[in-house]
Amino acid sequence: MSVHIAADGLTKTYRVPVREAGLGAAVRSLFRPRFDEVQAVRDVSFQIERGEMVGFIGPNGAGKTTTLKMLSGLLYPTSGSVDAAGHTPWKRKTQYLSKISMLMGNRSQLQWNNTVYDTLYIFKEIYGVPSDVFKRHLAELCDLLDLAKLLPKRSRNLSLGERSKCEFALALLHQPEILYLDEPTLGMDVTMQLRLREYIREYNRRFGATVILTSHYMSDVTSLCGRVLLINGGELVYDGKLAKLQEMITPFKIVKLTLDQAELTQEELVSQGIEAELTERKDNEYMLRVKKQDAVTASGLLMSLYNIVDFSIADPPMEAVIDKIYTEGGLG
Amino acid sequence: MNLRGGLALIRGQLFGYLSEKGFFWTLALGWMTAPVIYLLVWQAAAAGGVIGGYDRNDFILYYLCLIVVNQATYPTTHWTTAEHIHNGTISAELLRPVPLIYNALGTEFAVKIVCLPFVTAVVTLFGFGFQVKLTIAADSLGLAAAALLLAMLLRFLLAYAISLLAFWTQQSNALLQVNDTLVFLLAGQVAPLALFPPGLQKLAMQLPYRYMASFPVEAVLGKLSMAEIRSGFAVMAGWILLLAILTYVLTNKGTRKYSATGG
Repeated sequence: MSVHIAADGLTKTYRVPVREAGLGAAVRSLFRPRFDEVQAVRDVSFQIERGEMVGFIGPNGAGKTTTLKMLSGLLYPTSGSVDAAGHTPWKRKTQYLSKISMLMGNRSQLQWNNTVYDTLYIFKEIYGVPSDVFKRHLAELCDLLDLAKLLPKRSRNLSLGERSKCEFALALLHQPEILYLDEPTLGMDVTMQLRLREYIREYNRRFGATVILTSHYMSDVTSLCGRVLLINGGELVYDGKLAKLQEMITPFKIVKLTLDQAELTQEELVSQGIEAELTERKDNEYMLRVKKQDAVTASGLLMSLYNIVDFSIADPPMEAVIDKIYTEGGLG
Repeated sequence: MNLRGGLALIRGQLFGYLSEKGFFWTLALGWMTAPVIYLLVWQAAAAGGVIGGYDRNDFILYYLCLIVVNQATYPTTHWTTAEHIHNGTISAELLRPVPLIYNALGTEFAVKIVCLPFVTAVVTLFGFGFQVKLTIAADSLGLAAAALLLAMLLRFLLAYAISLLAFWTQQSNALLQVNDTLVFLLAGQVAPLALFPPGLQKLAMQLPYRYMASFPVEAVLGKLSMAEIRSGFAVMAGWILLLAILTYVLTNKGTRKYSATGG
């Protein structure tokens, strides 16, 4: 595998006009405008191999989208360098723009007054897609995204979910080798999210495309990306496997059990020598938090001491892991 | 250059505008209002004789031609370009492998194709209504057509260059408004330039505005000597070159400055 995207010391500082509230401040700002410097991204470096699928995660305002915009060529960095598919993105060379696609969940490439088919046709021409390839891709996309019935509709008449599907079709029509996906499943129902993830995975497998994904739906990230880049306060705080991140942040397992009749309390757990923390109870259903190294022993004790109707042991949900990072402001 | 992509953008915009033709025809009617008012004023004023070399028939012909030329040269995209820069929707255009200006050019061509037949039909009806006598010489048509094409380019480039200032300032819309006012005052819409005071006339000859509307009309009506036509084309070419360079520089510098507001 070869490096497809390499970022080195990527930094972006915005100069933002600020003023205090009130008429006086408004008048003063006419003559002496004040600006604050906001460091959206600070000295971020990473390398992504060709064909990798990487999740870009972080809380709102962390710098994910700014980084994606620099990688796609929309923004010039304040300092640092990027080599993506042999190009410097912000030079915005036609050759680079033809190799990439950036799908922004909150931005549309659709032309409101045109039909979906006409917009797809315009993109075919813009990207120089041969007619036979266009027909084949369109058939595939229609099959995957159930697009056929949307093709004759005007974009302005589509529902949010239908629009998302069409945006996705537009992004993939020219078979980009790098896909920047910024909240790609925004507004889609669960079924469509699952199908779309499956298609992204298949697209990556078939064409060896490199995929960088940001999403607030953690299931998008967990189901597609083995590797994540965690960005917080503009800084890259973690670059590695998702599972390892989970282990670092939440080194415990969640045990769920339903008892036949007996009552379970924290005091009883302690008195029985079970290293576990009772975190939740609803009727006879209990949720316990157990350190990973104690999980086997604790499970054995629970099974031998109580009459258990139902039992499960699992890693904490990824949302809980991410929430812990976001609320604590980093990896601690 | 990706001309194929550029043609596709024109085609796409055209399809969209054809479906909204009622809106654009209403807009075109609005743009005709001022020239029609001045036509009525000047043809009434010249009822008794010649003013500044224009008789009643000349005034009617002048304003009917001006309506068509004004329509053909009026750029519509500068407002939307500035707005797209302000609200960040230009991001979608910047991600496409076509020069940024293609989107505006595509829209301009599409609007002209949708509006011009309608405007020409309305002007023809006006011509019959005023019983105007066509006094246009065939040999001046070629020169006027060339002047019209350059006028379209000149007016578009000036408005587009101003709209690109939106990369730096929120006030570009005010500048666009000033530009439209200057076009109205100095492009021969209020009155033919021959009727301007000498000082203002001299100034108008050097500024780009006269060449956006009045010059092609004067050329088609045979009001200009060959020397005046030659110098007019030279001034136009100079402004177009200057604005083309300015547009190139502003696009490059502006996209560096762009902060892709709002996601």
